[in-house]
Amino acid sequence: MLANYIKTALKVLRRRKFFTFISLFGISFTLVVLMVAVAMLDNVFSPRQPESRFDHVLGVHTVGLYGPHFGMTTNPGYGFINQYVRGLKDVENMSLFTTSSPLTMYHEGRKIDTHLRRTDGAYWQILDFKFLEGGPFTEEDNRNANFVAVITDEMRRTLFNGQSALGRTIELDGQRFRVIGVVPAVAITRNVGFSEVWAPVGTLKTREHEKRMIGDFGAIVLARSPRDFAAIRREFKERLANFVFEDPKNFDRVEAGLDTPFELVARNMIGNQYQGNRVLVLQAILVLMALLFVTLPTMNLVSINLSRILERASEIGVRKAFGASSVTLIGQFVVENVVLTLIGGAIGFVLSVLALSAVARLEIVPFAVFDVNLRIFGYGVLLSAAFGIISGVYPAWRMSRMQPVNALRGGVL
Amino acid sequence: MIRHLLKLVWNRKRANALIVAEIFISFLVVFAVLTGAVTLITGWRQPLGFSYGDVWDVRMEFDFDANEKAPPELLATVARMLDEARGLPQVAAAGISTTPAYSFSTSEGTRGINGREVTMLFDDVDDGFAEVMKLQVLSGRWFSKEDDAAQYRPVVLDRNAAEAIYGSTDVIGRTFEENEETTCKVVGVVAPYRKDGEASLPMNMVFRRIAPDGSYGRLGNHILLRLHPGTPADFEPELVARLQKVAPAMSFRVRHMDQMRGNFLRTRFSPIVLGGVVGMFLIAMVTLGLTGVLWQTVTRRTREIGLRRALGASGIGVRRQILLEVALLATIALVAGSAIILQLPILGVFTLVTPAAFVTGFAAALATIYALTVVCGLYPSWLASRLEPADALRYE
Repeated sequence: MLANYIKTALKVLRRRKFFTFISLFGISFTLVVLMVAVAMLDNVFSPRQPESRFDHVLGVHTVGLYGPHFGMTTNPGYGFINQYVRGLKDVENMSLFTTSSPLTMYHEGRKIDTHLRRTDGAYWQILDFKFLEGGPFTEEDNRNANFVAVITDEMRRTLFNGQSALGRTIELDGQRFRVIGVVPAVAITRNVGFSEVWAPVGTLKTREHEKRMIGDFGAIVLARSPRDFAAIRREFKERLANFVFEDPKNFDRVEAGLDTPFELVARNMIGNQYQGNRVLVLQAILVLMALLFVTLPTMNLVSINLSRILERASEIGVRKAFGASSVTLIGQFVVENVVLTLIGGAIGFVLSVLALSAVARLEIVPFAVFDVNLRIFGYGVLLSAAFGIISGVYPAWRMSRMQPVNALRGGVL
Repeated sequence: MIRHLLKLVWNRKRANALIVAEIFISFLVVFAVLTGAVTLITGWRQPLGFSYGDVWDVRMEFDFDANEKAPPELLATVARMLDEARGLPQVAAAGISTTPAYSFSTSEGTRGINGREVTMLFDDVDDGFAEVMKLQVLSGRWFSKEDDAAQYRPVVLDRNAAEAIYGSTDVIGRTFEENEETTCKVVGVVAPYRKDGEASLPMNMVFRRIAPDGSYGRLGNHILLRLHPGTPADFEPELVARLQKVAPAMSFRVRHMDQMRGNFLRTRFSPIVLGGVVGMFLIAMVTLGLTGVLWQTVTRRTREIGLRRALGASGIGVRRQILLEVALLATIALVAGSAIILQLPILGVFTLVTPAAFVTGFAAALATIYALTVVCGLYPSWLASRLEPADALRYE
C-alpha cells in the first residue's frame, strides 16, 4: 500500500511541474535556514573537541553581586574560585583559568592579533586537546611560574610558517614564553576551550588577583557522572550561604551557579531572575522563534497543497464512493506530502552543507568548523518529516470531508 | 463593482482566508525588512560627531572592584602613561575613555529627569578626550583644569541628550543630577555623538569627567591616542614598549580605530543582512505560491469566466476582475497588518527607528505588497482573458 502511495505521489509531482517547483523551493529553503541554525547551535552547545567531556562538566563563569541600590554580574575572581569552588566533594577534577583576553603581539616586525588564556595544569586533563606536537604544561609548571606556552596550529602558521614551534620563543604581553605544545585551532564560540595561546596562571605579572572575588577568571569542575551534578550544586550553594561580603553596605546578596554551557547562555541572555527554569525559558524562546519562522512557509505549502488536491477531486470521489475511509485518505495524502518534503529536505540538506561551508569561509565565527555530522543529518530528516506532516494534515483533512457526489463532479472545497 | 467583488471573495472565504493570512504575514516581514533598510541607510549618512581616522585605542588590562575608587598608585601610573604618550613626536593628542566608540562595551542608564524617563549612554572620559576624538563643542566648553576646584561634578551632553532632558540646547549651568553627596552640572554641549558609529540608534550621550585626583569618575581602561597623519604602523611596538616601561605590571592591546570600526560594523550588520536575505527569500516563496494558487483558482473558475465572456464581457474586463479580486484580498490583509503596525509606536519602536524611517518603511511595504500581489495575478488573469467562451462553457 505504502509503495503504491509513494508511486502515486511521484506521478503527481511530475504532472504539474510549476507547482512541484514552488513546493520544493519553499521546503528546501525553509530547511536550509533551520539546518544552518541547528548546526550553529550544535556547534556551540554539543560536547566536542576539546570539550568532549563537557557533558560531565559544570562551569562557574559569572558571579552576581546585588545590593539595595546596585547589582552587577561579572566574571568570578581567583579568590572566589579558590575559596568557594575548589575542593567540592564529588568532584573528580577542577580547573581554573582566566578568560581568553585579546592581545597584540609583535613578531619580526609584524603585528599579530591573538588571544591569551592563562590556565592551571588540570585544564589540560579535563579538556582533551589533541596535541599536534609537544604536550601541555603541568601543575608544576604553573606553581613554579615557568614561562612556557601552548599555541594553536593557526598561530604556528602565522608565527613560524608552519614549521615546528617546539622550543621557539614568543613574546607576548611583555613576557617571553617558550612554546612546548601545539594544538588544533578552537572555535571562538567555545567558552572554555577557546584561545590561541595558553600559559600558566603563575606567570601573571602580579599576585593582585589572588584575593579578588570578582575579576577575569572562570572555573570548571569535572563530575564523575552527570548524576552527581545535583549534589555538587547543593554543596556549592551551601558554601555560598557563608559568603563574606567585603562591602556589606552596597552588596548583601551573592549569586553564582555551576552551569552547563546551555545554562550559561540562558543565564547571560535571560538573567538571573528566572531561577531554575531559565533553561526551559531559553528552550521555549528558541522553539518559538523556529515556529514563527516556519509559519509563512507552512501556510504557503498548505495553500499550494489545497490547490493541488482540488485537481484530484474526481479521484477522491471515486475512492470515497468505493468506500475508502477518511483516515485512509488522510494517511495517503500525508504520506504523499512527506515524500515531497523529504525530496525537498534532500535538496535542502545539500544546500545547507554549501551554506555552512560559505559561513565558515566568511569567518563570521573565527576558527569555527561547521561540519555536517550524522546528528545534524538526523535533525534535518526529523525537521523535514515534521514539516511535511504539519503542512499535509490540514489539506488532507479538508479533502477527506468532501462529499463523494460533489467530489465526483470536480467538487468545491 | 467592489461590492460585487466582496461578495465573490466572501463566497470563497475559506480558500481566501489562507491567502489573506499569507499576505498579512508577508506584509509584516516586508515592513520589518524595509524599515530596517531605511534606518541603516539614513543612519549611515549622518555625521558621527567624532573622527575615527588616525586614532589608536590602547586597552589597558587592570581590574579594581566596581564601585571602588581607583587606587592612587594606578591613577598615578595612568597619568604617567598619558604624559609619556604625549611626549612622543608621533602623538598629537591623548585621552582616556571607558567605553570608546566602536567598542562592544556600553554603559547605559535611565534617569527620571523633570518627570521624564530618559535613557542615556554614559562614558567616563578625561580632559584630553575631546581633542583626540575631535568632538565639536556647540556651546559651553569641554572639561578642563578649571573643573578641579569646582564644587560640582561637570558633565557634557550631546545635543540629543540636551534636547531629550531639558527640551532645549540652552542648558549650560543647569543641574544634571543631584544627591546628598554631590551635584552634577552641565558645562557644555557637543554635536550628537554616535557611539556605535554608522550603526548607532538614536541615542542620548552623556560624558562624565574623570577627576585627575580620582575623587570622582570611574577610571576608564582605554587610552585613546590621535596620531599625526601618516604615522607608520611600525610605531606601534615602540609605543607599547614605552608604555610597558612606565607600567610593567599592565597588559595592553593596541587597535586602530578604523579596524575596530570595520570589525564592529561587520558584527552589527551581519545578523541584520542575514535577516534581510531570509526575509527576501520568504517573500519570493510567497510570491511564487500566490501565483500558483491564483492560477489554480482561474482554472477552476473557467466555466464562470466563460459565462461572463458569453454574456459579453471583454477580455480586459475579465482580466480586471481577477486583478481587482487579488487587490481586494491584499487590501484586507494590509488593513489588518496596518492595524498592528500602527500600534508599534505605542510600544516604543521609536527608540529603535526614527519616525521618518517608520513612515517610509510603512509606505514602501504597502506599495511593495500591492505591486507583488498584482504581479502574481498578471499571468493567471492573462490566461483567463484568453479563454474562448465556447470552450470555457464546455470545460469540465
